[in-house]
Amino acid sequence: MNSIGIIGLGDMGMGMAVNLLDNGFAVTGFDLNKERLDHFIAKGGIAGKSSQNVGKISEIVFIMVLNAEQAKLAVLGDNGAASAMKSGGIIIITATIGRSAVLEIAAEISQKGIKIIDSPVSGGRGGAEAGTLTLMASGDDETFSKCAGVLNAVAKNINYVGKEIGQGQTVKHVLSALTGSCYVGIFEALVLGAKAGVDIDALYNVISTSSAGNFIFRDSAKLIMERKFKGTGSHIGTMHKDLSLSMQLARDCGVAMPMTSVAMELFQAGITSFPDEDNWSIIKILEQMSGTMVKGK
Amino acid sequence: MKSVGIIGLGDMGIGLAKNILKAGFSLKGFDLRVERRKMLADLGGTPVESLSEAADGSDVVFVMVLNGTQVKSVVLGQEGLLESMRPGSCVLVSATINPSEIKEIVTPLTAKNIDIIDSPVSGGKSGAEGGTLTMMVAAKKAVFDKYHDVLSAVGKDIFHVGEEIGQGQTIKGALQALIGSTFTAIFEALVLGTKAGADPRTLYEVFCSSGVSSGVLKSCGALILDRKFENTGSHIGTMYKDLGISMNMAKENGCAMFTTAAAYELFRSGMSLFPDGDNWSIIKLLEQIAGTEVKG
Repeated sequence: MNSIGIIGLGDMGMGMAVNLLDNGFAVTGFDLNKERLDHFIAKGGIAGKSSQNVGKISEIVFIMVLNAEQAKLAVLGDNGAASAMKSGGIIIITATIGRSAVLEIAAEISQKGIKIIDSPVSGGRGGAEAGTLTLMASGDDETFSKCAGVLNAVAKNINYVGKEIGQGQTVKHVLSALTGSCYVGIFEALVLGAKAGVDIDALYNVISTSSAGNFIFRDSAKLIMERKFKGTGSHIGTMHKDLSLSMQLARDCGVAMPMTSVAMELFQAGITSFPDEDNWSIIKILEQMSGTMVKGK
Repeated sequence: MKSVGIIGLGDMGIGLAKNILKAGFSLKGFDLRVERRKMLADLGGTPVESLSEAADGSDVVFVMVLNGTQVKSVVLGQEGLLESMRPGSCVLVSATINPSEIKEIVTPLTAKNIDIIDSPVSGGKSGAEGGTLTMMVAAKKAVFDKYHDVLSAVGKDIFHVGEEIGQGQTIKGALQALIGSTFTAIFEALVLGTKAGADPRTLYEVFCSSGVSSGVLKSCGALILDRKFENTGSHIGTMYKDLGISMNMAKENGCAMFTTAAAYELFRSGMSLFPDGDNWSIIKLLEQIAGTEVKG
């Protein structure tokens, strides 16, 4: 299978599209934003006229839009990909849209003989650009194995998490709970250190070489110390949406999430205060609460 | 005298029924459960077997069901109130549902010239039985005045909170955030004091005579000391559902709710552990964590 489609050329979709092109696939892309589409053409991609047009041309179509509503429109809408895809074609949902939405899409397209892989990703813009995303894929194994080539082009860690559609989303919601909690833990600790008067660069070195020093810490703490809160590739709206889906899963399963619920509220405060900024803008609220600032030399 | 209908004869609906009858109104009531209809008959009301029978000839019909889905199905569903009530009559939603959900019934009812009162209540089973509920009523002023006699039959403190449907539910959503947080704060404080060696009854008495004393504290504190956790009239599921509405409202309005969020998680844990318990069952979880018991 060589003709690949991708709907949604945002930070994530563009990174994946470029890696698919670099791996020799013919890629047809679509995005409502003309600038994104032009950028994609400049990289060697073929501009699709609509989601439907992408579906018509492609054997495998990635869906990398923002949320459930957009995903349903892109696949099931009157001009959606499924309206033109051939039986046997495959839709790969890489967007994080929630278990119920992906099940709804699966139920409708299976009537047309279109296959589906539910595979949210982790790794952010950096991972998408480098082709090193982590995938959590679910779906029948025959369809999954047909996708091996394209998945390898965009990801480094490809995890097959189960046969049932929805399991990929579920794993992602669990991961997002941890990622969101991790962020606010980092923000709080940095604010405590700053207010207590320690050298922030020293603190950064200590934490990043400790067992708590993960990628999220190194990435976000650096940007915080440089006071970079905008356009760095992790828009607060995405994590806020992902945490909402984690909390919804917790509601559905009757699981109390004392930690993640606090993270959720801090992301709520962040998105209200800094709607156009990145995840780490939340630290500015905590800094304000303590009357301090986390700044590197 | 007006003819009144009630849909939903749970703890709250039966309490409403009792006081509506006491005030001299004729009353028809419907519930899916036969035994609840029998209870209405025992009170002197007329049980009916369908929504349309309850609607037939009624001037005002209370909707006192569990949630927004049920309200929409009662009002908009087949042979529901929209189909069966006559123009000029009134649907009174006393259930607590999402503000956005009650707005969904406005256009269809208004198109048929049926009035709407959005009036969630506060006061629980005892308030419903005593006719002492707090009512937060959103309705056109003329509609509010027209049905004031019916509202007075079931409520003591009746607030006209606005003309726009949804404003009643909005106030209730905010109130439930406070009540839920109050509950878990009471539980924590009682566990702390007890574990630290204070006498639970003394703690309770001091709390009750302080500035934080409230109906919530008095009633739940007494039941905790007596170790009564079931069938006392405040099923944990109701508060849990209401907190879900508060949290949804907070999200829709971009408000961070640190305290209520913690309360909500404790209520979820309580729901998983004590699905048949009342709100204060949650204290058993905190007692277990601390290794103590708040007993009078």
